[in-house]
Amino acid sequence: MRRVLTLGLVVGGFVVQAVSYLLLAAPLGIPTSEAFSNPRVPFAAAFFVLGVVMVFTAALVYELLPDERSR
Amino acid sequence: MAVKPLTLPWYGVGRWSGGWYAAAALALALVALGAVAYSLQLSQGEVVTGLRNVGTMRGATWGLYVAFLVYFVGVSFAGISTAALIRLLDLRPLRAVARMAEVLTVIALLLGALSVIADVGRPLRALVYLPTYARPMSPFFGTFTLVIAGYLYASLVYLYLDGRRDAALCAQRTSGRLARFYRLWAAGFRDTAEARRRHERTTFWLSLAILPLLVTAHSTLGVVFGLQGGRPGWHSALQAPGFVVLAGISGVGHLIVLAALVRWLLDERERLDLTVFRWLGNILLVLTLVYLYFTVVELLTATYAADEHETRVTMAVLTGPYAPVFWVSAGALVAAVALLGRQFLTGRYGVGLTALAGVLVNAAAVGKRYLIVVPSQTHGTLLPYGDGAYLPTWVELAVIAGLLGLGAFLFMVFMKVFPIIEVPEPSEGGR
Repeated sequence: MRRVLTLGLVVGGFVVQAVSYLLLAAPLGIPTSEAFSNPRVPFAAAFFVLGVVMVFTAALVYELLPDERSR
Repeated sequence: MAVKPLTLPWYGVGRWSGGWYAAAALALALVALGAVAYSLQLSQGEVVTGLRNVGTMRGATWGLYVAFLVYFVGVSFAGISTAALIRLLDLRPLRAVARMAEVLTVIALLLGALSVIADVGRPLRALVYLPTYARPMSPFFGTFTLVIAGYLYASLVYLYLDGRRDAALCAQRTSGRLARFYRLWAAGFRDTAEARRRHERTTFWLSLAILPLLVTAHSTLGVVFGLQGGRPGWHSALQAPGFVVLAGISGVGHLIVLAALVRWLLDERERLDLTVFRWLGNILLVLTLVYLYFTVVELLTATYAADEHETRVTMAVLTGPYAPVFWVSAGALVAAVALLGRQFLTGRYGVGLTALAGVLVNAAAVGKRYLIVVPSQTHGTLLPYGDGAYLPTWVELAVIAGLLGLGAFLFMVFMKVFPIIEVPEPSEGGR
């Protein structure tokens, strides 16, 4: 369970980073208005930081959660 | 708080001396001065600073605060990179400075974040708008949010996990209010072979993940300046590598000074022996030589056949109003190389001389950061405006002094509540 959760956080964190970078924020298409200066979805940057935080939280989960065997 | 007598090295934890109180009072006085100056800036606006619009007002919109933001983020570089490299390359001689390196990183990043807050006119608005409207691909986002948020979080995780074993030891040997804090930090840590293996694996992967984040972070900071094509003096491919190397210089220099201070204050000559200073001094020597090479290449490019605007900025730095800062900084770097190079060539290393080199490179780093940020704004405009000027006011100087005081105070408090040097394994000569 601990390993699954750790791996889930690492993969999930990278997915959140990729989605927020490419789908929520990248200016796709030819810029035609000032709206292209903003991310397509507000808080895309916050989601990206959340992804980074998830990846490093995996270290906490891996080290702090007890093994099922040792319980 | 009561601390029971110990058999393990305690590195001054819980020993609150008169000297500590005096130093803490001085640091807090600086913090109070900074708070007063910042409240003045908040109530009256940035007119109380030396910051003015570029061009029309012939000033600089980025000044001392941004120079120190870059400096603080640079200092943070050494901390976590040293700690990560110690784990990855198994650099046992440097293990004694790993904890102080981690703490240095966390404190430096906090000060960097506060420098950003000090720089913006409407801090609350900035805190809301940055996560709402920033785009992850922007170098500004990379610097002001990703570096400070992601990098700080990663460093805190590293410091926390790396300190669990010592926290467990402290919890066993301490009574009083701090015991709860130690138990919380230890989070049920048991010093078993399995726990150690798991910790080794975690720190290995954490180190591996942190190093690229670190290089990206410092390169991004350089890219903020280097990508601006319309700003002579900034637009350069050398900005990103230059930032990484100067970050290493200021950080390793800071670490040397801290290690020398800790050695002197705790009289800890066994763990912080000459080998530590030899390693750090040699790393600093190599980094400083690389940076001097970058400086020469940059100056050669800017003075040989550069365009009119680039030449104007370079001349302002070499012979104009910024010349004193440039030559003092360059002189400090050369002096540090002379000190460290002499030690390297003769094989005779001294703590005092290495620490002096650390002080010199940090003075040079502050000067160089100032020169990177300011001259391009006052002398590098492509628009038909005359040369500008920027001089920080007492408000900016007081805010920066307050930040430095805060950093010193946090480090001093940490030293009194947690072992600043990793408690050695019994096999390493634990007393």
